[in-house]
Amino acid sequence: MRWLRYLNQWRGTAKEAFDQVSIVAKFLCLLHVTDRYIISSTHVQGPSMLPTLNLTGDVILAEHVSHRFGKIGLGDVVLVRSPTDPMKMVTKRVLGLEGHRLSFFADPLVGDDSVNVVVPKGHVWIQGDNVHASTDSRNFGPVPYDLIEGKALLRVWPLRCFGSLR
Amino acid sequence: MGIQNLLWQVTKKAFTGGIIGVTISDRCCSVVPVRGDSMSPTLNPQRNSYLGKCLLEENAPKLILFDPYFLLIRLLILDADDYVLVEKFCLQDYKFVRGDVVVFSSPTHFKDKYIKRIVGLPGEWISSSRDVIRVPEGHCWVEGDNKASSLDSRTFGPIPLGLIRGRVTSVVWPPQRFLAFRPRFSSGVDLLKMGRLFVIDLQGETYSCKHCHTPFALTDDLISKSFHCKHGRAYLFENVVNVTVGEMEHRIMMTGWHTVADIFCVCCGSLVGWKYEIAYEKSQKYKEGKFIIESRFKVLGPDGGGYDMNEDEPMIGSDEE
Repeated sequence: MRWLRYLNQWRGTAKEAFDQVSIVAKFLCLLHVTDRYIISSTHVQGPSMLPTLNLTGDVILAEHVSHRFGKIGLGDVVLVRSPTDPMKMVTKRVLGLEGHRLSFFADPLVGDDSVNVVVPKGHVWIQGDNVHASTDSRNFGPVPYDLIEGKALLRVWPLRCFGSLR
Repeated sequence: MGIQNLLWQVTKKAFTGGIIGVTISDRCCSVVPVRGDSMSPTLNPQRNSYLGKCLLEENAPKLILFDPYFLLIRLLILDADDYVLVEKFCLQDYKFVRGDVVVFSSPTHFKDKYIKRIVGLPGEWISSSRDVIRVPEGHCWVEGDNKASSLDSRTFGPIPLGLIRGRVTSVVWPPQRFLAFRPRFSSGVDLLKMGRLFVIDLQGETYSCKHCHTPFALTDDLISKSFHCKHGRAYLFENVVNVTVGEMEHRIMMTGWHTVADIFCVCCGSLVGWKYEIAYEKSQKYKEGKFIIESRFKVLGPDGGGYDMNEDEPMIGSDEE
């Protein structure tokens, strides 16, 4: 008979615990959906986007809505999953959409020979603003559109550079 | 007031349910329908069967196209697409194994998703119709099982691993196809490390896979023909090439306990025999590091025929599974 009383007590506690856990779980799910589908913040670093982005690292806000509707345009700074390492994300600028004809210097430090390329269907050409220190489409070719994960909106850190990326 | 409250409650519940559903489908697993027959007979086998082809509109005689019984049968057979479970845990580290069936976004039409099998990992060499291609870092080579009607890497080249959206683990609908899906290669083995560079070509008289004619061993490497397993004859070889080695297992044979690993053809993935890793009886130690190829797994002898079952050699040293 005593264990029946314990069972009732435990039922109350268990229900409370379940409620708390479900609140936390719902919050985490909301966080995931916002981060993946609406807006997220990313820390970017590296020399490939100088002078637009700093060498030592910036925090930028990126939105994840426009790439789903195909609304990525020329000149947008985008977050792309690297085609050479799927665990890495790179930030580059879109310089060519499908069907565009581009020419670039094979190696800007050495000769003047330029390569002409047409961006195939379903792909985009991404390039870092700092042509001397950037591995981008000049190295690994045009990337499929679906590797784009977000478009950069504005920079939030460091505070003195707060604002849109131009 | 009551209606408004009710509506609000329903909306809240739907919103919460939707968010939880989206999170689970992004991080855990989801169920997707398989369209088309590029993966027949592994997935959607009815589309490529003789009956399936007969039921296609272009093949059916004009008179019965409007017959209600015909339409009903057509609905039951052709429209019974498989629904598969796609798991998303593989996207944490992108470690795939040759033989995985994956869902990925099309490189040419970003809104479409395809389901195909990975047959080449980064760094491997794939022989296509005219030349040999190396799969670049961070990419993979995908092909459909039904080579005749599949749009895959033979058309659009290797795809970046970042395009992959999940791995197919099992068929969940229709229920009689449940558990029918089996990965062709032994799972659980890190085949990334095995990295097939190219198929080794053997000069001379060889034993090869009856299915894809990949050579396995030279007649010179044959040690003994007088092994047999419970399914028939088996040959012991000194060295075997063009096979991938599966997981090690302990097995009891007629001659005692052994640790063996199954071996599979690198080209078509069919099971061909096993390799002795460790023998626990002193008298069986000579077998360590050697390979058994079973005759039932369709191995062609050098004369082109299957193993000759009427050999009059004594059955010494037989090993039963």
